[in-house]
Formats: sequence, structure tokens, C-alpha cells
Amino acid sequence: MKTVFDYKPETPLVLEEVMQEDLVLKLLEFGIAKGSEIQMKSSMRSGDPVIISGANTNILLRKKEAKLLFVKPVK
Amino acid sequence: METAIQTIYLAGNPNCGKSSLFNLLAGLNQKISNIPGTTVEKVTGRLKLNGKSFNLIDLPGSYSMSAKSEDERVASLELLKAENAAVVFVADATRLESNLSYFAQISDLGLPTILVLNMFDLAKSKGIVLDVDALSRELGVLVVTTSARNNTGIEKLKETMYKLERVTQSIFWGSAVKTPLNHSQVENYRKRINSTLENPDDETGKAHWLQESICRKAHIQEIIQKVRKIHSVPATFLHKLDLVLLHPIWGLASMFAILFIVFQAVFYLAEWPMQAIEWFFSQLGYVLQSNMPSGWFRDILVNGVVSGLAGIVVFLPQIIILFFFIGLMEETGYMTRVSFLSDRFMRRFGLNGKSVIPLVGGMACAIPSIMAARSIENKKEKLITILVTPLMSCSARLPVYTLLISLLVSPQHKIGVFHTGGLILMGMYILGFVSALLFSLVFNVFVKSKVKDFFIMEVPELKPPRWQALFVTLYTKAMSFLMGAGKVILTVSILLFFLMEYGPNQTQRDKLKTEFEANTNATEEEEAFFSKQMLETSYIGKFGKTIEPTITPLGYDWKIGIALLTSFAAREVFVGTMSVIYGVANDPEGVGLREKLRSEKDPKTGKPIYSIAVLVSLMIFYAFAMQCMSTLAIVYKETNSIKWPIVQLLSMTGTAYLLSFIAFQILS
Repeated sequence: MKTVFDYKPETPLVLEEVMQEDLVLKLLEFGIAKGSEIQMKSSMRSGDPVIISGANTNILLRKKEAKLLFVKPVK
Repeated sequence: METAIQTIYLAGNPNCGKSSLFNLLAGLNQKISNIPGTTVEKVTGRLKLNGKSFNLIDLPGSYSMSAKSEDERVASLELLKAENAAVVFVADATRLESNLSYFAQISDLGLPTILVLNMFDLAKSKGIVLDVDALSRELGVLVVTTSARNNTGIEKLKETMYKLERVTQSIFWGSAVKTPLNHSQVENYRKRINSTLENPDDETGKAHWLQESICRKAHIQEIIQKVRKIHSVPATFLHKLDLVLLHPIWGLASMFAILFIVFQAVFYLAEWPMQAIEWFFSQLGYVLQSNMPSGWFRDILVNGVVSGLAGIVVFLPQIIILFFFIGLMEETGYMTRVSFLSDRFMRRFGLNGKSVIPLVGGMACAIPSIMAARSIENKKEKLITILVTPLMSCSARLPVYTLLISLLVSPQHKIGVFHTGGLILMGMYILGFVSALLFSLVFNVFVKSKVKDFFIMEVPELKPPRWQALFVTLYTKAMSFLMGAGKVILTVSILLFFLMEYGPNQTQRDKLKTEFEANTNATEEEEAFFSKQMLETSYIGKFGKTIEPTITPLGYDWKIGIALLTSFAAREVFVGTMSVIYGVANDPEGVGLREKLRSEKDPKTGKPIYSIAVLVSLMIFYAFAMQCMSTLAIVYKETNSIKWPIVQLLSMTGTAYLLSFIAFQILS
């Protein structure tokens, strides 16, 4: 399974799995769930933190949390 | 509208324009107060609809009824205990997924609810087309569209608020059945939220809530697909600007440039109004002194109340300017860009990206900067930010540093092309920043956080500011500062007045006073000598003598001790107190005082009292010591605990004592 870091920024991706329950809940609050289309909008040079866009919302999260988001490209 | 409804809550996600809408509905008729038992502020106002008056409450922005942050928890608890109340849910029309998720949780509470689609104009400009009637049918609630920025839809909203008579919620939780909740289902749902709020880490409760949230999300997604169409539109200027502001290199360069401008503006724009305020209060004091009969009432009014008020109000220009820029950065969404750019660096010290703004602001004044730390969601990082912000070199330290540096090196002395004094001053600012980071490291070890948290935050779209909302917020925050910190500093100022005006041997002091007042041709020197005698025999003078053995290891005598004591209320009082002690008449340039201090000799050794060792020791003391009553009062208010101002007072002043001692002992 691949994470957002395996794709170039702005690549349309589908959220397949989130590896932490608290993070699932938090993402749901932002309207993002499994199956939602997301993309990495911006990241610092080290890849930490990152801004991920999904459900018309941009969210800022640190690398260790972003690595828990498993994705696949939009077909 | 049913007569039973007395309170209308405005609820919604952060950044949905809820507070702007509140400002439009309530106008300036607002009051900020803490929600009992918490540090969370509740903004209340009055709203008149068809001749009837209602309490209007702006709840803190939240994403969920089960949220963990203090603000969000309080919003949930307020809604749970609401009686005779209705909810106006404000949603950002451009982000329905996130907003309707919270709306669904609130609508199930059984309170009369209407949905406001705010930023409707922005949604249109982004190519988002919403079928409002269909949305109203699907959700079973009245839906109104507004744009708080353009002041549109407000009258329609007021009309709709008047129709808040029926509870017509859809069922979102548990099963997929779409029927209004019956009474016992609502009660059951409320109990489960209460239980989740009380035990946020309970695994069963969390699993249940997760299941419900997934179910809600599926329903919402279905509804959104029915009512929304998105057409692609070309990228706007703000979108392109955002790409620069979030760029790892250009973004950082822009951030430093913006923060530099903010710092400069706070420093220089406030100068003239601060001088005007000082002039006004000195004139007020003079008028009262000249026109009131002499006696204790006049003395307390002039030397206690007026000087105390002056001490508070003089900071107002800096506070307003700083809050203006902070408000502007929040309004436009730039603040979250700063958090993004600085988070990694700040994290190493136990802080987070949002700590940058309070720290930069702390160079002007710690008071509004500590208040600005409210935007930090993580409790531990917020607390550490509050604790270290007073270490940044604030403007109150500036007159102290200026005086001490002028004694240390000649104003003409240069190293290369740079003035030595300027370099030392810059060094003091760097010392403040570095010590704030080092203190953060220490607090990061000792401050415990029970909540397992992660840093995740919404980055709102970059947008032009709403000036009206910005100025209303500015006004309410300034008033809140004046009323909150003002009470404390006024009390301390009056207390200090008594300690300076009275002494253990009051008969002797009264005799001195009578003799001085009888001498109508007293020279400036005689007046200064009288002031010095009065200070020496006052309670504060006696305190100075009492603490002298404690401060001797730092190189200070009892006179410096008095200045240390009086500047506990505010650091800049140091210069004024020294002027009184050394019998220098009011001298804004401080030249007379400089000369007096330079020529001051130790009566035992004959050596200068203000040696390099003493001056460096004093500068270090003022860099670290917690000598600002207003800051302590604000820390108490913000943390809702006496523990943290005490920790701050002891750790900072203890470090100041230790480092000043080391500096004096080495240099002497």
C-alpha cells in the first residue's frame, strides 16, 4: 500500500485506508472518509508538515500522521 | 416563534463566518465572558426580532459534538444543557462535507435548528451550484443563504429565525431510517455524547461514535450528490498567491518579511498614540492636583488611580495594532500558513507552528500575545507558549535597556559601522528569543499532557479580510483587555501608592511633609531631596532595606532594590523609580539620571556603584525576571489556574537571580 508521499503533489488520489482510529474520526470531522478523493497540495522540503486537500477542505498534518493515510491513484 | 425560546445559539465549524454573522446580528451590543469553570470565552449579545429580545450566543467553532479540545468540548456541553433554546447552524457553503457532518450531530439534539449557508457568493464564484430547496427538503430544516462579508441575506435570516418554531430533524445516527427522532432516542443520543465527552478515551464509546460518524458521512454524501454541482473555474489571484505563500522557500521568505513588517508597525505606529496617552494622563493628573483640595483622596486619585489607569491605557495602542495584524492574518487565513511554515522548527522546542505569532507579538507586549495563544488547540503547546512568551523582550524592557546600555557604553562608541549600543540591544532581543526556546525545552519535559493528541488543522482558503468584522473584534478584545487586566493593575498601583505614601514612622513623615509644604520657594534639589527622604522612610523604602542582603550578591543596593520592587508592577517603572530615588526631576531623555548614576559611588569602597558587573547583572535580571503584574493576571485568566503564574514567576525570577548572580560574580 502506498502513501501520499509516493506520489507527486497535486496527483488525484483516493483514500483507501487510515491506520489509526482517532485519525479516521478527525478526518471524518473534515468530511474526509475512505473513498474520498484527496491530493497533497503542498509540503515543506523535508515533507513535514504537509497540506492535504480533500472534500473541498485543506488540512495541515504532520508527516507521521500523513504516513498513516494509504492511497491509490484516481482511475 | 414560540415564546419559550429565549436563547439562540450560533454554532458551526471554525472559519465558517459564524462570528461575522454574529457581529451583524448583535452589532456592538456584545459581552465577552468566560464560560464558568473554563478559560473558554463566550460572546453574548442581544437580538431583537419583531419587538422581542433574545440572548444570542456565539459558541466556539467546532467540528464535532465529541471533540476533545477545550473550546469544542465547551460548545458541546453548552448545547447539551440548553433549555428554551434554538440553534442557528452556520455552514460554509463551499465546504458542505465538513460542515454538514457537525450540523447532523447538532440537529439530532432535538433543538429547533435552522441551517445558514454562509459564503454563498464565494461558493458561486468557485463554480459551486447548490439547490437550496432540495437541501432543505432532504435535511428537513429551514435553509437560508447569506454572505456575511457582503452583508447579504441577513434580513431573510432574521425573518427565518422568527419561524424557529418546529423541530424537524432527520435521523442520521445508527440506522439509515430517516424519521424524526422520538423523545427517548434524543435522550439516549444526548447521554451518549455526554459519556463520550466525560470519557474521551473509552474504546467502546469511541467505536460507537466512529460507527455513527461513518453512517452520517454516508447520508451526507448522498444528500450532497443530490443538491450540489461543481463547475471548474480558472484559478484566482488569491489561489496563485497562496501557491507562493505555501512554497517551502518563497513562503518562508514572505513569512519573515511579513513578520518583520508587523513587528516594525507595532513598534513605531504605537509610539505617537502612546505619547499622546501619557500626555493626556499627565495633564489629567496635573488638573486634578491643581484643582482638588489636598488630602489623601486627592493623592490616591492622582498618584494611585490616574497613574494606575495610565499604566494600563498606555499599552492600548500596541495592543490594538498587534491585534489588528493578528486579526488580519486570521481573517485572511494567513495565520495557518505561518503555522505550516514554522511548525517543524518550533516542534523541536515543544511548541508548534501557531506559537510563532505570540512569540513575535511578545516583542511588543506579552499581554495581547498571551491572549493570541488561544488559537493553539494543543493544550500542552498552548501552555508552553503562554509560559515562555514573557521572555521575549517586550517594549516595557526597552527604557530599562536603553538606560543601562547608555551607562555601559558611550552612545558614540562603534564596532565597525555599527553602534555598539545598538548591537547590545539587538543581543538582548536575541537573548529573549533564545531563552524562550530553551525554557520551552524545559517546560516540555515537566508539563504533562494526559491527552494523546496529534497536530491536524484546517487550512482555510486565502481570502480578503472582512473589515467590519475585524474592527468589531478589535473593539471587543480591547475592551476585554481594559476591563480584565485593568482591574488587577489598578489594584496593584493603588497598593503601591499606599506603600510609597505611608511609612512605619508616619508622624515623622507628616512633619517632613508639613515643613516641605511650608517652604513655598523650594528649589528643584530640595524637592528631589524631600522625595528621596519620603521614599526612604516609606514602607516600600523599608522593604528595599529589608531585601538588601538578598540582592547584595547580585551587586545591587537598597535603592536598586526599591526599583526592583516597584517595577514588579511593570518593568518600565524601574526608570521612573530610579529618577525619584536619585532626585532627578521628570526628565524624559533620562540624561540627568544617567549622569547621577555614573557618579554614584559606594560609600564604603568609593568605587562606582554602576560598574560593568552591576549593569550586566541588571540587564540579565530584567531579561529574565517576571516583573509584569498585568502579564501574570492574563496568564491566570488564560490558564484559569493560579499554579501557572506562580510557576512562571518563580522559574523566570529564579533564573534571573541565578544568572545575574553568576554574571556579577564573574565580572566583578
